Amino acid sequence: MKDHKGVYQNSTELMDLGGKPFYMNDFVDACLYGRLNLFLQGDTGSGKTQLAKDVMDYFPDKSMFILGRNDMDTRELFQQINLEKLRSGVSSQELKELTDKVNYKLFVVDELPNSVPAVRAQLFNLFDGFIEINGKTYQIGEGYSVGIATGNIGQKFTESNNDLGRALKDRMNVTIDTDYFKPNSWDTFNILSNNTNPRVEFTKRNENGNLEKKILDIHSKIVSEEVPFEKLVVANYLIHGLDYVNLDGKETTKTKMKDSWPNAITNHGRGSDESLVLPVSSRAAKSILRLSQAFDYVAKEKGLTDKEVKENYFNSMMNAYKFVGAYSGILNDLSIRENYGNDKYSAMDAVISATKTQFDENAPNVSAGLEMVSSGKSSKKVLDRFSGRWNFMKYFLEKASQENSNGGK
Amino acid sequence: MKLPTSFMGYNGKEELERIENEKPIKKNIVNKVNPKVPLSGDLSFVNDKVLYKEIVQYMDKTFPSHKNILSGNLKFKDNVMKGSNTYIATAVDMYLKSINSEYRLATQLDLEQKLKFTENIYNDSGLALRNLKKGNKDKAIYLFGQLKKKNLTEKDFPLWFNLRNLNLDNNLNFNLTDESFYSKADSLNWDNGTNFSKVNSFGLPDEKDKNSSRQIWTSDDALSRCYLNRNSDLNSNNSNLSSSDDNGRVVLAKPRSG
Repeated sequence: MKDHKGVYQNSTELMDLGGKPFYMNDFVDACLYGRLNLFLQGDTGSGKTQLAKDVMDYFPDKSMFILGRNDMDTRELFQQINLEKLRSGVSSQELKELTDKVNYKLFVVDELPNSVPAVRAQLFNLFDGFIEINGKTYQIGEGYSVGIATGNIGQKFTESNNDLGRALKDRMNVTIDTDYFKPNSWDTFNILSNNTNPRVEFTKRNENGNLEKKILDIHSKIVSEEVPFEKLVVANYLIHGLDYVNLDGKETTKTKMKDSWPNAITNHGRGSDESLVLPVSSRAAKSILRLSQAFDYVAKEKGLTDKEVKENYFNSMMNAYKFVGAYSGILNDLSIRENYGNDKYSAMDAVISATKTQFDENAPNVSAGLEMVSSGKSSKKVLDRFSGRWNFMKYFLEKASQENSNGGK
Repeated sequence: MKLPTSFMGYNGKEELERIENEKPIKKNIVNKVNPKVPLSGDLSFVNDKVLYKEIVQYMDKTFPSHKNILSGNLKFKDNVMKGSNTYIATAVDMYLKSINSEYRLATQLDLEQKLKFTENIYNDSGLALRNLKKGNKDKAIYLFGQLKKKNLTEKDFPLWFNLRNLNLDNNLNFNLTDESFYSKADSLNWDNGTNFSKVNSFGLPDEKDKNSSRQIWTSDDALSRCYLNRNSDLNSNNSNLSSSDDNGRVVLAKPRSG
């Protein structure tokens, strides 16, 4: 955040939106604006803990640092957040009063993979703003809480039999590989010349309560504002369009193919995005939309006008897709290894390039379809423009036309 | 949900009007061109990086002296193989046949049936043999030598050849196979820039049409490459068979099942 100078320094560009470069700090800001749990994947000593620690300064009295340890049990965790009485048979009312008092906005869990599954589950709950006691959930805080976790589990993200990988994919909204976007030599020259303390610095450096207010204000705007329709089309393409498969003339979906994807994809579908990527889940689509909306706010802070932000809706969505998708388990690992040198981000770039072509080709048809609905007409010529992976748009437009002709009921 | 009436900068009203007023391209296409040529089906570019690598490998191994004309003109970028010339398209078809792929090089007829697919790119589909005197004279004579054995004479010029099912030899001469398709095509000698709309049974211009925006570009070279340009005009006026750029694509066709 430009109002805050942390210890972590990294000027490697992660993405670009409307000509404005985004760095690691901007990315973390966007996750906070969107209230998206962030997992910082990276090797030991890569700076991820320092980055997370810096972010705690945004919430000086409302952030909690927890070190993931395999000998920590849930009782110790509750002690840390002043909920040690939870296990001593208090009533539901008392539980509610206790949990209401917990008002942490940010939980930072360092080395999350070290924690045992039971503790990990409660940590994820804390990230999402509640705790679970005896099968009941109790909200904590005042509506906003988010988690940043760090760890290094490498390829285990995508192993289907790996509980940790599944849990991370399930509960962390965004994962970023900090090794991939590690600080460049300019940064390390500066870092090393200023400070040779190899430890993570935990001294509070900023007591600026305005940062917290700013984050909460932007978050509430993001939550309340309407998502632009253009972004909804992109999200639906990622859910339905990328699900479409044509198997030797037979239309089906990757979802229906289940475990036979991607091996059953024939010949030249191989290597294309048809065999490279699965569709996103509805939940992932929400994360993408939320992150994209947050990117737009960061872009505005960097000087983009509302008009420029609007012109970049598609790019904003694609950037969000890249970072939500890369470690979410949607990519074909074998293809990544064989064709992309095990580089998930390059593979996502390839999918994005193909998606861009799809939208370049179909945007005129979508605009015609929207006009068709708005004017109350039904045009076979327009609807016939949507086929294959664009069937979802045809269905939507047909339904929207029907709704219109029924007076919106 | 509030629906807008424009999308990604496109004005809905204009686009709706455009689509509503679009006239289908009238075609005079017969279903069966040649029993040995499968019926047209889906078109695609080479957007499989593995296939691209296999093609390059095949070209380099089969035509090691012509890397600059073949694989040297190809690159895989933006998820698609870029580059096309007469030799590249023919070599790709040869490779697909060698692996018994269900894909093949698209013919002119395939392309005519899905013109929109090749908008904004160029793609090689055929050869025009007009005489034995000017540009590419040697290659024209070589090809004509094979036709003479089939009792064709210079009176049968101009001739059209699908690149599909031609074979290249080490000197990059064109060799007929049992499956090669060629036919007399008068349109190849029409005035340069003649407008047309209807196409014949193998996808070549059939009738002149002043009101159409499509044009055929011709020349008096002996052997010319033929390709649909970015505006879907048919260019048959280029005797440089090996030039290629990033706008070139090799178009593949996958015959419909059944």
